[in-house]
Amino acid sequence: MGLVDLSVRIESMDLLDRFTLMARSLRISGFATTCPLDTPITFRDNVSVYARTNLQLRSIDELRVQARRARERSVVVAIALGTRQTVAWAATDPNVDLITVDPYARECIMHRPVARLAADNDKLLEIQIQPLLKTTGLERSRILKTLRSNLETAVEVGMKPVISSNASTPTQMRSSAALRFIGKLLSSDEELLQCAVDELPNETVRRNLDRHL
Amino acid sequence: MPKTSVERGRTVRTYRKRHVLVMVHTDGTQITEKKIGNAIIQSILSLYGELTVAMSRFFIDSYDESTGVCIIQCNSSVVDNVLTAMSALSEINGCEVSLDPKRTSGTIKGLLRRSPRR
Repeated sequence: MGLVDLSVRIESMDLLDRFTLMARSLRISGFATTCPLDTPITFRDNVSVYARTNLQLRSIDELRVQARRARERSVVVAIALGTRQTVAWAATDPNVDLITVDPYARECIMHRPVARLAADNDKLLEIQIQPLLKTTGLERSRILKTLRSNLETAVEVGMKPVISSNASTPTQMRSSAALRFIGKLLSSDEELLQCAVDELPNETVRRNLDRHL
Repeated sequence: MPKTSVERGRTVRTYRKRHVLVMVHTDGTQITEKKIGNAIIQSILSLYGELTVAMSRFFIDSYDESTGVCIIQCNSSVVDNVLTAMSALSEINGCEVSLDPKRTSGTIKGLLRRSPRR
């Protein structure tokens, strides 16, 4: 099984073919997108397209309902790393798979107790590489600092990371090897990177598809 | 560091080269070999600094614009840094690109002989 990219931003279904074409040339077996799909999984040109929902930060009660509905129609459910209360809820909610680091929200950081809670409930820390590709210089170094510190906290307490592209155009997609190399900017642990790029995204999708079937 | 040194009357290489086969994906715009080379060097410079650029001995062996197959060579001690900088490259002169490192070898002959694998 090839790489599964857990985050690809496709604005309309008309562009889906361009992404699947690129995915095939990069040997990506599937990707998850927030683009509205009729079913949780769609096959296009031998590439699996999974439905993904990004939960919008609101009150905990609203998030709980939103997550339950999202679980029914999506293979991947993610929430951005927000306030401590929200992340603490996401860490224990069975419908949430990923907690995504937003490198631009520097005040939203992964705290150790919450990370431990998330690790105990098998939640994954999602790191998206797109901001690293779009920036240079001091701005990129700030993003690197945020991503590295969140990753370090998560790994210290046993929370596992996944690396995704969050590509908004086909050329922003990256192959498994390229994702691992970019991951070296965040961690030098080769085993961790292998797991974050090749193994955990596949496992997450497989586990969630089993729930749907 | 000199490229070669003389030890016991024999000339020996003091650093090892690595050749890497890279697939260049673009948004449709044709890019020249020179522009790709310059962009990769700029990316190494931005991420790792002048010392790594100097140590890298980065050079493009060949680039086929029609297929996007590019073979680069660099110093083996910094090959990971070069590939990281290459993978982090997203744009060359306004054209979106994705550089996909395919395989690495000590010689071009070995690179082309080996069966395709990750």
